[in-house]
Amino acid sequence: MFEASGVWTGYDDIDVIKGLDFTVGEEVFAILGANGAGKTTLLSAIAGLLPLTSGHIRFNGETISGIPPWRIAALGIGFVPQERGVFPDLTVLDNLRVGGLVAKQARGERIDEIMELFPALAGLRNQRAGTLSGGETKMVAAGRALMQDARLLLMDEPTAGLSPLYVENFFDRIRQIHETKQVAIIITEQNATKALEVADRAMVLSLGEAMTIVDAHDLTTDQLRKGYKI
Amino acid sequence: MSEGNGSAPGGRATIRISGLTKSFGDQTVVDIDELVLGAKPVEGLIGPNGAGKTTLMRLIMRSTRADTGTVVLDDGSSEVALSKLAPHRIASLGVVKTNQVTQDFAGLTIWDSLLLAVAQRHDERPHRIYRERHVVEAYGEEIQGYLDTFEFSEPGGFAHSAGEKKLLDLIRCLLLEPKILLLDEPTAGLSEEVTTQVIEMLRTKVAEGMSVIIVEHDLDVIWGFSDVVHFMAEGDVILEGDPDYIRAHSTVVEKYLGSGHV
Repeated sequence: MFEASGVWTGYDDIDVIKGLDFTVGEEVFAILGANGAGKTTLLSAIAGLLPLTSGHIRFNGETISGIPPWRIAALGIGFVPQERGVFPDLTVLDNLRVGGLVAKQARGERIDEIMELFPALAGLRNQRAGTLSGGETKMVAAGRALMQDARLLLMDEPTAGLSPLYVENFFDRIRQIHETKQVAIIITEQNATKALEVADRAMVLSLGEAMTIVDAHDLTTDQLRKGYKI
Repeated sequence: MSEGNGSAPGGRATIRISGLTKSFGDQTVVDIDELVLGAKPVEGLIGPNGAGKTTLMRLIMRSTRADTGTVVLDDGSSEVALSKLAPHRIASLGVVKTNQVTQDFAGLTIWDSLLLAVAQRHDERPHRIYRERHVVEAYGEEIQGYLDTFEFSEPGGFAHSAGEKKLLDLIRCLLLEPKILLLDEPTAGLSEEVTTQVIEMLRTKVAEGMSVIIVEHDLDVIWGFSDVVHFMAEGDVILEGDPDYIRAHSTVVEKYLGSGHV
């Protein structure tokens, strides 16, 4: 489904991602690593927001590296950034509608599905997204990405800055999204324990290099500590 | 968290923090009751993403305003409340910070940019630095020393790459002859070789009396360079100790990896 081969990318002349090779199937794939490991940079590159220095990325048989972000979104890759994932001046409903602009499925039907997935949003549909709490904002951002009929969801530290209650709830939703909507998910996380609870496989990233790629339940504490340098 | 009166043995200046808080919206990012920084020559500041490390540095430099609390510079003979001063005054007192995202004077050559730092140090008016040849000659050797240490692709021209701009930022800070240098991810994006050069340069400055407080995502740099490490989580410093103690502590592992991996 998804394949990254020899991927190098970064900012200006700084290499942040250094030669990554990995594939993602119909699964939840966790990218773990300390801050500075390159997790956000990698997701930005997959979403087309950052050009590759070398290598290529393929999705469903099509090379997506080098094409504009909106085309990547239209091909079915939804990006939920760590911050600024919503339009603050639009209502919750309008945020979801914007996400549905590139989808084939009827928008009304899809909005009902999102409200079912995140019941807390139902009562907030006419509220401006900029007035929501951190947890509610993350739900809208995830909902907006799902509205575009994504087949692969990129979620960048979706629980960062959320209260423990929201964190638990959000990880439950991630597994639910994957199982009920058959959406593959690449999730970056610093909190390895929570991510490994919902992931099928995991990659430990350290300073832009893959230390290991294994089944989530096979990842050892020693492998993690080595990757995090602790 | 720290104990002591803030005056460092051997005359090192320290930064004493009391009741320092900062929130963005409903999220508290820094909440420190008591903390002393700078008592040891090199102090590492680490913690998971969102722990508040960069915000704490910005609060010290007052590039971000605190909600409550005080930050005091204590050089052993006098105390100055940094939390009442403008950032440039804090720098002139010897507390200087490099930037995680490099501040670039794009229109200045490497030499002009470094001369500007020298002008700041000597309270010279910048035009005097640029117009009077003898002033340039007086400080030229010092600047050339740095340029000889780090290889710039065009030392007589502009800093071209992000790595060169990062080095330029560091050299500008060193030219201010800080008592305490705050480093925010100084080696991010630098090659292994240049990182080694930077650390060696900093070790020399530390031996001459400068103190370093360093935030760095490559923890190998922290473990190898720091005399003491402060571990931050959820806005507060919750552990302090030597690198081996911090590295082995179960709380550190838990905060980085989660409770299932202790």
